Amino acid sequence: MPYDEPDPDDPTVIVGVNLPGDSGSTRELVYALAEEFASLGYGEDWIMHMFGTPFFAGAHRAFLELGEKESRAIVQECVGLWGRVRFVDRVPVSSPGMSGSGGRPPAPLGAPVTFRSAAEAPEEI
Amino acid sequence: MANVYNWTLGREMSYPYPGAFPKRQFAFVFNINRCIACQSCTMACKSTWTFSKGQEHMWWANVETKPYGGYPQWWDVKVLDLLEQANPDGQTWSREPGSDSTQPYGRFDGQTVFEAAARTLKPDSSRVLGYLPADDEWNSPNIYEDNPVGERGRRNEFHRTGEELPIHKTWFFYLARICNHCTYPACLAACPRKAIYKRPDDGIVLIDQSECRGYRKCVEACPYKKTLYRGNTRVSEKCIACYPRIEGKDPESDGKPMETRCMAACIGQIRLQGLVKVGKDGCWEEDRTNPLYYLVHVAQVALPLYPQFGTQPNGYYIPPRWVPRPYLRQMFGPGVDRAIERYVHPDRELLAVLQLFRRSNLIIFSYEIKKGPEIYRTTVRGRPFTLYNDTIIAYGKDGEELFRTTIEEPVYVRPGEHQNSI
Repeated sequence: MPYDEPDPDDPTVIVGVNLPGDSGSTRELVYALAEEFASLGYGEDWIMHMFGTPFFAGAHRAFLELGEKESRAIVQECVGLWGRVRFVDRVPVSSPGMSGSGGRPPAPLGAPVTFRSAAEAPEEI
Repeated sequence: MANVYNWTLGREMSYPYPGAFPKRQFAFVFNINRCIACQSCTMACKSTWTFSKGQEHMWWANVETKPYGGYPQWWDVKVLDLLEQANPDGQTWSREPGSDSTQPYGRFDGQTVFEAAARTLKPDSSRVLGYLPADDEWNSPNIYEDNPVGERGRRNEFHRTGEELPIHKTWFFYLARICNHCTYPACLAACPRKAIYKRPDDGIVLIDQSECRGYRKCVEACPYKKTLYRGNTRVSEKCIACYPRIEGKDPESDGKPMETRCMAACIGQIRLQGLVKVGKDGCWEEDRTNPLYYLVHVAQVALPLYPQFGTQPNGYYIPPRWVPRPYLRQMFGPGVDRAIERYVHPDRELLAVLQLFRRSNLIIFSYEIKKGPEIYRTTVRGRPFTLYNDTIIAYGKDGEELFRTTIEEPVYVRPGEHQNSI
């Protein structure tokens, strides 16, 4: 990693250099992240916490540019859309233990294997 | 040079060998909108295949921060620049993207790495326009990523606050990459010893280690820079698509075709990999219930990476929706606007198919959707949206059910005590 200040005149070292973007790109980034995480089952508090954490550089940058009020409104809209339901998987008994990427053991049909529950989403990172 | 049909370009093109196509082709779709650059895929690959002496710089799977980083650095900018020099202002597309699976993105009127080589390179034995990255361009695979670094001279300690890091101003995104196991591989075209071949069963591109003499023509030719030279063995190596898993020889797979290590490790659920049917002309055969065929040719939300290079790559990306469109059009071709529009406002089938990502480590060969009742209606950014309680069922190679995913409205049961404390 470079430790020196970026040189805006160096076309190949563009870290920290402002790039032209559509006026709506920041807003779209907040929408994209909010929607993806809301559909994964995370709630408003968790998603806002992610935006407020500087280590998530893309999300945090957008949050700073857009402001908390507008960011929260977008998150509330997305959680309002996706937070009402959860996606539930069922795997046949005969299937090898391949459910998801977490290596969970197979569950028989009829026994829900839930991993998108808003209720089970961690409240803190 | 032979003439072959490249459907991602919508036209015939020149290639050093006549077309020879596998029965099925290894292919994958990455949803960039979900990638958080956790590098689980990178490390899964590294710890499986490239952990030995001489492979320190070798990352068959990597995730780079675009447009700032790259592995090797500036790989795409350099190849695009070479093509622009060979064909100034001529790298353009014509005709509108359509639904024809032999010309879904219109027609590319510029020159591929093969065609530009025929015009510009000397001697005539040079078959592919490319370049050999310098050693220092390989040494920072994770350059400019937004993970914390420490102060110089202080080991094992990182900055306590992210604000002290270099901040990317405005947009960026993470691009996960492996070998695209191209239909017309540039590495294969360039190898003077014919040591690189494409497997007839699954289209996986491999380097025969006993034939390779380490000329590095493949490293120079691959526009995606996914063949790498190993100094201590003096031969080149590349992604092998975890072919023992694809063949079902992994002990965990019970004999069934299984997705690669990088796919299975993805915690962001951005990856779906499979095998698609290929016709005699190199185009995908219609296979309506194959999820990859659906995402690439029916919903058309997944696009090839730099199709203008001309290798007909078999890796496809759902483009990041927040990135300026001119950048995306250069990276993924003219189908970008349509892909993002459909991804942002998914129809009933697309929403179901998107649920297949990372639900199983076994390869999904087909799916079926059982329609359910309406759950609710609402509006999404001013447009009406209806959610149905559909069930999508994924099937394996022999038609066996792998899993089914449905939607439930959570039911909260109030406890006996504190009944109002939901």
